[in-house]
Amino acid sequence: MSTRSPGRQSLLATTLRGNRLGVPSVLFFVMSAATPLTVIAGVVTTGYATTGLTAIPIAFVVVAVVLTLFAVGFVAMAPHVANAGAFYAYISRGIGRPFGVAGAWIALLAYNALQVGLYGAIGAATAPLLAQWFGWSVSWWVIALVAWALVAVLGVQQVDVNGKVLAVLLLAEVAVILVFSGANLANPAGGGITFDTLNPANLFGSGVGALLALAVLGFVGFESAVVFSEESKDPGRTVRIATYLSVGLIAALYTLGSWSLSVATGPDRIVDEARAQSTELLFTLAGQHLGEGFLTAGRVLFVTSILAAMISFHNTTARYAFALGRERVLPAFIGRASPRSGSPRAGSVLQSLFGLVVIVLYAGAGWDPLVHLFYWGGTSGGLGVLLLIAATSIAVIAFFARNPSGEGVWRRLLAPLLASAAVITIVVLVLNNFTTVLGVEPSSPLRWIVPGGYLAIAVLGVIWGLVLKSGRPEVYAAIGLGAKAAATEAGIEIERVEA
Amino acid sequence: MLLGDEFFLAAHDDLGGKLRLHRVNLGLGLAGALLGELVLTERIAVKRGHLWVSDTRPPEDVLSHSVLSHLMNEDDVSSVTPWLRYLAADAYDQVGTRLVHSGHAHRRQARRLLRTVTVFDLVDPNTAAGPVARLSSRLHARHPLSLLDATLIGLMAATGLEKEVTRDAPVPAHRLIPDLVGRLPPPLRELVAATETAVGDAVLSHRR
Repeated sequence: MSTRSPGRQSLLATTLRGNRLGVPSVLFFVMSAATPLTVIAGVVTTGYATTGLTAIPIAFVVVAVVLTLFAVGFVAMAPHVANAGAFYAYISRGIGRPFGVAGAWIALLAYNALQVGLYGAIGAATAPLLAQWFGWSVSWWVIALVAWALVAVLGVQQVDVNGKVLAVLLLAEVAVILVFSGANLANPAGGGITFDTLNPANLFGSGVGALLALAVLGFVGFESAVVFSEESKDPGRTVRIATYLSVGLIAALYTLGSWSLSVATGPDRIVDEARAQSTELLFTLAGQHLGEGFLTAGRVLFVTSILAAMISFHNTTARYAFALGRERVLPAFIGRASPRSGSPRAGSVLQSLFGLVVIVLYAGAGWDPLVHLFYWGGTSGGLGVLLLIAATSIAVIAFFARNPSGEGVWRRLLAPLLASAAVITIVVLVLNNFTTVLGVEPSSPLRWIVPGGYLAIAVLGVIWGLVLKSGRPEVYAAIGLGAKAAATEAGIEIERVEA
Repeated sequence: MLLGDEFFLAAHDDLGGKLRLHRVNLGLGLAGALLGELVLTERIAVKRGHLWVSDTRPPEDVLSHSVLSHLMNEDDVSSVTPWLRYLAADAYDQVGTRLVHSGHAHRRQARRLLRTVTVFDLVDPNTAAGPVARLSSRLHARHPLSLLDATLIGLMAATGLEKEVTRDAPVPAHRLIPDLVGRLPPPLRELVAATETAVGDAVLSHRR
């Protein structure tokens, strides 16, 4: 082979490295998918109102600690997983392919629930602006359908919201949350700042599971830094630091935002105020303390925040379905991209259809969009993600037990063990308090329907995995690997000699 | 005509000359075709996701030669996937330029939204429609396929173009393609599979 002068830079390596990212870029990518105003103005206020519990701020801290612990082993395993952004790939690799299929289907259900849930919030977020600007009073579902059409069109073209736009939105949302929180803390109810909602002792009452479920919902997407495992400057370090930082920053922001709300209303009044004002609570307080301009800015950003989250969850769901179709875990047509746009068209169209059906169903039945769609969709989806995290944490232990891969005992064993114990504890608590999570009577069948739905789809997934194992071993072998299957007989010859 | 040229033509609409493929798929398909040329001329071998140079004699074609030299100069990278991604970046320009030299295309600068891009206009509509027409009719008549034709169909399928040639085929595409690809010699089969995987990975990638 030819010789190479030692000083010359490899052109190939340089070109491929040209795209390589550092910690700030990866951090921005993860954080901008977090859409923090959706969580503070939407999830936190509805959470206070529905659960009737006040320890939400400290729950964010607890969950952040657990997720950081989980991330230790998760990030360590990421380079060994083909489709590193998807929990099911870890489950498939660590526990077994049938469980991977179960995880994949749970994820699809959970992400769909999270996405369609947002259609329930967009009406409540937009209506005050339409009333303020035009004096219009529009039904929530009209606004939801407009948003749906936008998402469907952008989704099938696979238009991602531009990274720079997301970054600007993120910074604006963070600024608004900081300013609003500052104003809340500067105007405490009763004249003194209180720390009741930050007191960990408040967690250990009844309903702790509900608080933890809500907090987990706020962190959905924290795992996405690992998709950069292949293309960051110093993969292990960059992804690790970006993951820890994003969990820490998200926790700080949500804890501050939710705590300052309770300071402004007074911890004894936060539940009643949230019930009375719902998603308007954050903005009403801002209007009182800061004036009309900030109020409007906050409301506009709440709308753009929900829209960005919708588009991002839609695209995530469509790509997820595509990845599963490509591996034949879902029908093959879902795994086909549009040649001209390169978009996972079938996955996108199916997700949009699901969204449309849900909006029409809720509008027709007259169900409450905020609590019964946004909040239930969010918490049910959050439960699915929590189940995936639990299964993944076990998969990490199992994987490193077989392939130590040169990792130290902390990363491959101790941290994953602690994380598994903590996450499984959270799952048990959440399931115990699931009626409180949803804000329904303890006798409500929903308590069993939502977890039961996940259980049913998991069982079906395992069965499908086993069917593939015996019937189509070449498909089975590719689960979680990003590859595809082949080979049937169709009867056209290929000449062995070049024509 | 060489595999890359034929793929280039097949990726263009024979009527308006518009691209049938997203630029990512186009680049990866052409990259697969450029490596395929070297497999067909038995300069490189592909096995288990890796490639290596098996014959260093320069191929007749200039572009093929330059790709081969590149592979030889950077023999520390042997995985097929990074090579596909790397070659994909310039493949459209390079294969287009080769068609300009052989008199089949003109180069033109075109204005897009905020930038100027190079596009290639095909000179003769009949030549442009050639590969798709040939493959369609051979499949329709169940004629045996040359190795080049079968590889071309495999690469078209990998990038989502197979419908262009399988419309009149006696067997539906979802059965025909796996069978054809399955009967390619292992190096070409691997190359097609690697191209398809790279195309799928690009769909899943956040960076487009």
